[in-house]
Amino acid sequence: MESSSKRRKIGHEGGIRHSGLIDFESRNTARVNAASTFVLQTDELLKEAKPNYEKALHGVDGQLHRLKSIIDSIEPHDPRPISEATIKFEKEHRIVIPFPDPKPAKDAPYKVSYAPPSQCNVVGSYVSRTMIKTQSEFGIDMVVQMPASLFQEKDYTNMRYFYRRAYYISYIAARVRKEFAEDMELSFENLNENPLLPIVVLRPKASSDGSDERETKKKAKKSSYSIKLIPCAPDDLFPWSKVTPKSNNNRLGEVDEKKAAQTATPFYNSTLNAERTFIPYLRLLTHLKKECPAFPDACILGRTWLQQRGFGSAVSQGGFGHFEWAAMIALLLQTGGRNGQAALSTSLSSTELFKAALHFLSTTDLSKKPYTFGSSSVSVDTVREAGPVMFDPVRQLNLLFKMTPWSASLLQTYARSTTDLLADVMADKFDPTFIIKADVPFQTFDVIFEIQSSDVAKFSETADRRGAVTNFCLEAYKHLKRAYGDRAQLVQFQLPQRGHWSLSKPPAKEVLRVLIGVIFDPAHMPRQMEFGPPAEEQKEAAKFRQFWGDKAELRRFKDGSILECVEWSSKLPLQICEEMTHYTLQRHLKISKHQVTTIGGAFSSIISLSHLDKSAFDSARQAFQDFERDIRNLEELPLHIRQLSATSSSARYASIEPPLVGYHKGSIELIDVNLYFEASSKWPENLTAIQEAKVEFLLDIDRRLRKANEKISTYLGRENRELGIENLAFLDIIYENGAAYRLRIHCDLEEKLLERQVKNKTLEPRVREEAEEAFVKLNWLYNTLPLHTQTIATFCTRFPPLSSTIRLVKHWFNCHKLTGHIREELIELFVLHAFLQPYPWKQPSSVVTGLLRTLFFLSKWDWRDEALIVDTGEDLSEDDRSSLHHELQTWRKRDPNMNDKVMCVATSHDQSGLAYTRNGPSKLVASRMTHLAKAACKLVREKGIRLDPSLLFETALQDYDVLFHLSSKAIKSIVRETAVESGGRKQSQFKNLDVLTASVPLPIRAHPTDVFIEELERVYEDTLLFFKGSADDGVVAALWNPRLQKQKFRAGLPYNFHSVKGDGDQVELNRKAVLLEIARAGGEMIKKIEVADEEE
Amino acid sequence: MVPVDAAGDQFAILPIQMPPVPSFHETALHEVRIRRNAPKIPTANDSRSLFLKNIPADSTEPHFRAVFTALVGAGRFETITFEGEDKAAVAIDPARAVKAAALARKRKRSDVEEEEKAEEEAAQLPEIWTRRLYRSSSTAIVLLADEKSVQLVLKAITKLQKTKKYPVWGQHLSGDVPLLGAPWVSSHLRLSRANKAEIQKATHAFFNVFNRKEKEAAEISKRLRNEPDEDGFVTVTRGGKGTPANQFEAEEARRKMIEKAAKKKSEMKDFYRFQLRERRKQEQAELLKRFEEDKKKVNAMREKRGKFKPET
Repeated sequence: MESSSKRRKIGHEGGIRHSGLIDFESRNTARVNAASTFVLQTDELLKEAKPNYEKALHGVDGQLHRLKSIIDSIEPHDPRPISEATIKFEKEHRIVIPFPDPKPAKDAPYKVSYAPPSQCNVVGSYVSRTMIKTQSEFGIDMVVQMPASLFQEKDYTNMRYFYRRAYYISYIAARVRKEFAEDMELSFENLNENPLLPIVVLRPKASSDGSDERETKKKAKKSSYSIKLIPCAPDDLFPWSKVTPKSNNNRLGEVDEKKAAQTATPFYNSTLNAERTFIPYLRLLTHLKKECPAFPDACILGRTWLQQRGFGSAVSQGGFGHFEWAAMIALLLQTGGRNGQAALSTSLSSTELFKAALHFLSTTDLSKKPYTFGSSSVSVDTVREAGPVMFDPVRQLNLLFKMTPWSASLLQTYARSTTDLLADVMADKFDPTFIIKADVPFQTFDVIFEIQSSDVAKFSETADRRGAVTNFCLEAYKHLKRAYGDRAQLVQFQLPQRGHWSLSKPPAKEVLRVLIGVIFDPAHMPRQMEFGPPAEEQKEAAKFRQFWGDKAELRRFKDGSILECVEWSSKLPLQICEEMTHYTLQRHLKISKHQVTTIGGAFSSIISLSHLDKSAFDSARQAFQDFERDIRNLEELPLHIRQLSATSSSARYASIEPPLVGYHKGSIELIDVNLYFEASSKWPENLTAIQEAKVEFLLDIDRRLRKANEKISTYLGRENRELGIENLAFLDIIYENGAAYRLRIHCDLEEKLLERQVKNKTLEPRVREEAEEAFVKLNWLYNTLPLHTQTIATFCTRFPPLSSTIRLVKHWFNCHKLTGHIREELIELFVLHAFLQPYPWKQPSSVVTGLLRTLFFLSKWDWRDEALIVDTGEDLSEDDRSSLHHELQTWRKRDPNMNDKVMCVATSHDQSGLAYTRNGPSKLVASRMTHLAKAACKLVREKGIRLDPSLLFETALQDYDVLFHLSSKAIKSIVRETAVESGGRKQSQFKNLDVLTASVPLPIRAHPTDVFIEELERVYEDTLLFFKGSADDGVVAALWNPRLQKQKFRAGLPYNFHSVKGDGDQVELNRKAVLLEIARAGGEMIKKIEVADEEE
Repeated sequence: MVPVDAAGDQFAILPIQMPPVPSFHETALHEVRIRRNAPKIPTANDSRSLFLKNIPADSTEPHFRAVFTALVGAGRFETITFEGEDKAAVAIDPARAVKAAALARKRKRSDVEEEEKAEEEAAQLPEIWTRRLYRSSSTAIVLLADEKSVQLVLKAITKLQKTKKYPVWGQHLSGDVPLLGAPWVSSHLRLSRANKAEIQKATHAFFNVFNRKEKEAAEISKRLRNEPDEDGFVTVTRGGKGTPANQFEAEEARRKMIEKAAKKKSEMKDFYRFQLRERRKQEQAELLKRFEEDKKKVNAMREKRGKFKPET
């Protein structure tokens, strides 16, 4: 009975339907499930990216029609011997026929002729409507198919086809130039920078009415398009069997005849092969556009993605552009799956297609194993060649023939990083994928070498006709890759771009100016020794010796093995890499040292980074463990010790100066340590009494410590505050070897009492505020800091470049005087974030990339709307994130001017988003930070490889109202004076017998500059905003509080005022008096006070 | 300038000439506002004291003594109290003492009180600054010899407007003023390195006071437990007949209770079918909500121009 009633209930159709309920059957629901912000964002991008063809390319269709009719009407001429025809033509039309090198011999026996093209067709992204607005230029490809009658059977050999082609295109060019002389500019160009394929490019002339210059400029900018006339071969001109990658078809240009007959010419062959595929691919793409509605959009997405990474069809851009992308997706939609099925379904959406294509690129190693679409009959061996292979068996073409091994691996790197990103639930996916321009050399590569040499002749003599520079690079790539081995993740060559040239001139000579970018493997690059095979393996050993030459030596190692090895004399990763590069290029390619410039080396010299730093940090941590043991071994302490944790930046590999054990300076660097006792009920239930009890504890520990170890000296230090609810004192403990610690005690009851006081509504507001402030401080010092220290230290050991990057970034903040407002721990989080979410790149592998990407992140981060979430423990859920986001929104709603809460920075152990940013930066400082980072990134982008790193660290003093020049002499003497016992021995009359040299310096509470500025900040809280860098920095800058305007006098004004002359009750800030007060307070510590000129 | 009305709430302006300093070669007039002292809670000395606003940050008693001497001659200035100095010493009462003391006020004998005060003073830690900087534009109260001096001072200030012979800051200082600048900072740093014996003594003194007060508080609350007040009610105070409950233990017990409740709740999850259904429904609603949120986010991005434009 019951079951039937249930069924009836379910069967109820057409009943009341709530609009909010989800119906799993409907299409809408499916969308809800699949949809994410990313999809919505890409939809928006697609809408924005498409140009308005009517507007942007107005009148292009007319031009194309006209062009076609002109070309069709060119009258044919009979065959003539090539040399005769060339001379006649060049004389008549003043056009230098762009024959590819080497030029045809004078006595070449074959004849050239002209016949009207069998087809004239527009192909490419103009037809498929897949152009995007941000292209540098809209290119419209028009192919002119040469009739088969022009060619002979053997034309595939010895460049004969290309000579005929060059003649053909020049012949057309002559005629077109005549017709379009008025409104089009004609020039030659190599198709995709392939030296074998000259084409004619038509660009509209800027209308030269001379009416309004600005208008013409605007117009020229708007209609920047070009029409490319591309001659191509008829279908099936040459059988594929003749032009497989293995065959040798060209012997021209090779000096050694014998060698020329043997070596295969894959590039030459593929170029020849590609000539007949324009029309078939056009057919394929048009067909798919009908089959798969999302296909054009997927092409647009791919085009954007490639363009943001600097990829394009041209050889210098990697040889993987829009066409290759489209063809790849098209082939995947048709073949590529199991059992001859399609790999992708045509019903996928554009985003899904895009993701699938990226996945394909990231998982297929194209260089190692040739990839063939479909399980075709073509065996892998027939299509194998040195470079990457993606073979289309139907059209019998290697799609990637223009790619080089390095561009293939770079493409794969980018694809991997993007697939990682798309799989990362936490990261923002859209911006790194499509918006951010990722091809800035310094943000991508750890080091860049520039090779400049005019002598490339020896590389131009191969028959494969890739061009001398490419040949050189292929050679260099082979050697450098072998040399670096596992030290480098990626070696990349940037070829010079080749532009267009005018019809009447021969093309410019190639210059050898190549950039080599290297991405390190940070785990291996610092290795100073290159290990080879053991001596017993003679063959291998001989190879090793052959490669390294004199540098290779045989050594016996501790474990008894005898290995071939090479030792490098440099210490830092970058310098080792430089040394290796110089040596390898010299040995194998005879490129001398002065032809290779290292770019980016200047970064590590900005602060003195050294390979010894890590061990200095390590030994500091080691020393801390000794200290911990000493404390734990103290007997009969009234309470049990739960934990000791260090909280200083030098205990987490993050201080600018590495910790030096011993007395190297006049002062002592102490490591802050928190001591946690087991929970106990013996503490007094009063905050002030707890503080006093803590002092008693410190004194007790002090007594026991000194009893246990006589060589320890201890000092009880006072915090800068009165007796109250906050911590009063700390114990400085100094070991004989110079290791020094500052011990503070944590009491768990204190935390609870404070919390209760904050919540207790019956108390006075002032008391509660005070308690809240104390609570926040306590939480920071005893809860957040130890965890933070632990986290950063762990990550520093996991990512080797993190430590030095943090130090360099801190120096950057110091240079821009932001350190006083932005906690160093917050800076560490910024850097860590750049390492944890490095998209669109891979994780930074050196200091340079780390620094620049951190700055890049800071320039992009919109802290007004976005919370920074550094998920150090990888345990924040989606809900945690969205709740943080909502929290930020409520802050903004409540306080739109951001007077109180400015940045929201959360980590796994602090989800309030405030712990790191409660005491600043203020809105003013935060926007200054963003501005500075933006300026730095702009500089990096604009200067490219010509960047002078010290510019990034230059302080801009002109932006401040007041500059206090501190006297370093006075400050040093304070440090010296306070480092000895007061009233102690007098200064010796001999300078070199100073008291200091004889005794150990005493610890001081803080650096004198910091003490002084701290006081000033307290006194002028509402008047001045101080900006300081490191303690040794000689200049402290300040801004007047911009909110202090003229106002009516009242007794509660918080700043030093004087009455405005002739204006009754009005008062304003008495700036001079304030500065005089500071000058009096500073005394000899201030050398000069400089006031910026006021504009008014 | 406005004519100064010495009487009433009106502030008079006392300009002080600030001499140049080697690091800043300019002079300035610092304006101290001055009026008769009229605090909300009147005290005995109000009639012969002046209220000062906007005093220089580096003020000391000798500084002001010199200024007033320049105005009205020697012998009229008695003393000056700066803002924050008169604040009572921090209450070092144990938690319970405060409450108990509020309930039962008991007059102590004055000599006992005196003794206790001395003890409390001993509990204070030694000073770590040789001289304090006051917050910018802070206040002070000057105590003069008699009411007539107040009149004289105010008159002298009015006269200053005409003669323009302003007193100069830091001139004719009688008595030693601790230096600012480098000696000031270095002495502070030295004083911050405390003398262990002194501190030890201070903490001992502190706990003497503290323990005494705690004992007193305990006594008071014990007494209150037994004594009905005038209406016949007995005040309920913490701590039963046995040992008084410790705050710490109470908290521990509470935590345990909450934990237990949470555990019980989690065990009952997904027990009934309707719970499961409800949870699913909730999840779906959340999904829908998230979708809406995404849409909103993208719309917001669209409003900010350039978000969808790839960088070039």
